[in-house]
Amino acid sequence: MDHGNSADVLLRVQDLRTYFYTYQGIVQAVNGAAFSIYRGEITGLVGESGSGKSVTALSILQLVGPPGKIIGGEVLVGERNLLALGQAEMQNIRGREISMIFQEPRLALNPVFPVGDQIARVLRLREGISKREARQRAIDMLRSVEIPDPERRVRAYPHELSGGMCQRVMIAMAMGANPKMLIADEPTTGLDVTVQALVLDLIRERVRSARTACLFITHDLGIVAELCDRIVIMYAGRVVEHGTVEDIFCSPCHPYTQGLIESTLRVDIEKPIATIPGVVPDAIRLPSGCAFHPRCPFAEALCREEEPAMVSAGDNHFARCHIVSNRISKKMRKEVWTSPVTLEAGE
Amino acid sequence: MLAEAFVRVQHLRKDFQIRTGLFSRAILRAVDDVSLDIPKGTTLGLVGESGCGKTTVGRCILRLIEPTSGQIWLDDKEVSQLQSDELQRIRARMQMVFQDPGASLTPRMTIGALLREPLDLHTDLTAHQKETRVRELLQLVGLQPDHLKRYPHQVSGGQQQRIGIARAIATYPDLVVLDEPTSALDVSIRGQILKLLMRLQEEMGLTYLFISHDLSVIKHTCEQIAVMYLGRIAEIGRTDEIFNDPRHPYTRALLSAVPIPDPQQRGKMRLKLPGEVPSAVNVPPGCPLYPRCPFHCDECLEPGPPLFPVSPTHKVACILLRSDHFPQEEAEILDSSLVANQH
Repeated sequence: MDHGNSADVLLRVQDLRTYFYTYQGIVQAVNGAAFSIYRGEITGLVGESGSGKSVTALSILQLVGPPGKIIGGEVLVGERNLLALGQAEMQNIRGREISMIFQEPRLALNPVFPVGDQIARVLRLREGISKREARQRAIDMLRSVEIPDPERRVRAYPHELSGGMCQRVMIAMAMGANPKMLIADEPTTGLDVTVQALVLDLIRERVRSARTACLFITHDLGIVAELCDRIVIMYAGRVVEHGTVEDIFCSPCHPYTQGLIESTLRVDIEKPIATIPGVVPDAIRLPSGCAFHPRCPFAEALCREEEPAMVSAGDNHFARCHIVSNRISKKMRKEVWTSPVTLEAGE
Repeated sequence: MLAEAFVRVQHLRKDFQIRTGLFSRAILRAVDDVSLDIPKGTTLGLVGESGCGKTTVGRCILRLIEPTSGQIWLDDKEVSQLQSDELQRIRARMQMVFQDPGASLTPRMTIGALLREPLDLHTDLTAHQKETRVRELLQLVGLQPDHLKRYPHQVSGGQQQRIGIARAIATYPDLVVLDEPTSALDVSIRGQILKLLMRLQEEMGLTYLFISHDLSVIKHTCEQIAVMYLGRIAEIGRTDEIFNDPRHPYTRALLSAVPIPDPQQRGKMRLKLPGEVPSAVNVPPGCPLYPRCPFHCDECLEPGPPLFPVSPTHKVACILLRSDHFPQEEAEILDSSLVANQH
């Protein structure tokens, strides 16, 4: 695995801002996100609910509808800025160059058509092949995602297939056109762990063999550790840390990343329950300075006043924290996440 | 040995009749011959994948749904025999916390009214005493008095679940059934709720039945674990026995499928089960795992298998554990079928 080779960058998100204009106020769902996605690699986009990870993915494909609006930034594929393209041009990119799979596969499929017809329709629209040929290709595609008895399953309706099976159909449709990039938005949330493991195997295998770039959105650090090459951590609409999987797990720099790793319960080792105090902030009224400061056990006055810049924390490892940039000199102790003082601070 | 059972479930069975056509009906056996003992003040974790019947067990124990057969004891009362008026009275002693706190709290009631409701139903306290108790509950679960006048949608998911817990403990229950209490919550909040549940257990001597599909949560909260598959208990034992020495192929597959948040453990060995959980309608006799199990043999099709003891506290429903199978042989078969995680 070579890191940081800029020739391998497939897609670059720069200063992406997507706001939602609601009656309550402006929700700054994505607020200056920036990261790169590399060919042949799986990049994990991690954050809690409301951190802006799904909206980031939808913004890449210009799928944000009112009251949401992409108000700034660039999504660069080579020299091309996707955000500058019109809907018609975008339609050529979706599904062909960049495809996406979603969290609830059964909702993403049309309930009144057999899955085979839905796959065939995509193929015919995309490649203009005959009905018969499309049907045969649909069967082949179902076989390629390890669906048993594909000749019979092409005639099945989504409700006749299990959740794991539906997600396989979605993967087959998404990967069918050999896209340059696959966006997977929590594709295994709601699936059982044994089924999840098989779906993840399938995604890994398909992405690796086709050298597709993949943006994998999840809140589960376990999945990230097993699947991804790079990680982008988001908090309150901003990227707070990004780097390789090894860097993020072995030497997390941002207190939020650290807290997230510490508070993830594990089945393999004994460790006390840890938590991050407080709650994810209201996206309409974000805290001043660093958005994480009200929950950060290391916060000082500077964190409240000034938003930290993204600084290098090593080779290809970046974090947005005043401690990393040495403007605050403090040692981040891991024990703080399990201490009763932090816990009792509560919500 | 475990202490004496406080909650005892014996041979619990629950059948649902489902429509398969205009006039045809089929039997869905959601829970089949489940027996559990929970000593006072401890937690039993009920794990399994969706559709395995774990929630049905929880609801049957509280008699929110009527079990088809089997006995349920709470302390010295046989819950399964109680008439409706007696059942109403014992409900104060057994409560439930639901999965989705946003959906389980009435949106039209203020938090104060929500907390008063169980007191109205189950106690004869005066209005003043109720008010005191509501404030006491708020403090117990870590909420502020100014929350009383707010509505559930005005507070966060973690706080909603705190209200759900406060409602459950309002009447000083003995048993609380926790049905996936943390699965709707973010990772950073989950720990706060688990800590709260464990503190309340210690302070009030609560007995928990903890239903979850998340093995990491179960590991951190339970003394005993029962693993369910297709309505039956596949393996039951102390937490350390289940995690350090899982014997049933299903338990091993389940444990090895949980992603580990440590990139250095990539490529760990995994036991893969082909296919998916079949429907619980018309399950043939014999081991329910038979079609997916890599070690199946003809004997697995015989009715059963019963729970074979591995230790006084650890029992496994797998024919491989029968005494005439050598433990070595079993271990070898199990190890030979582990598949390295592909990368």
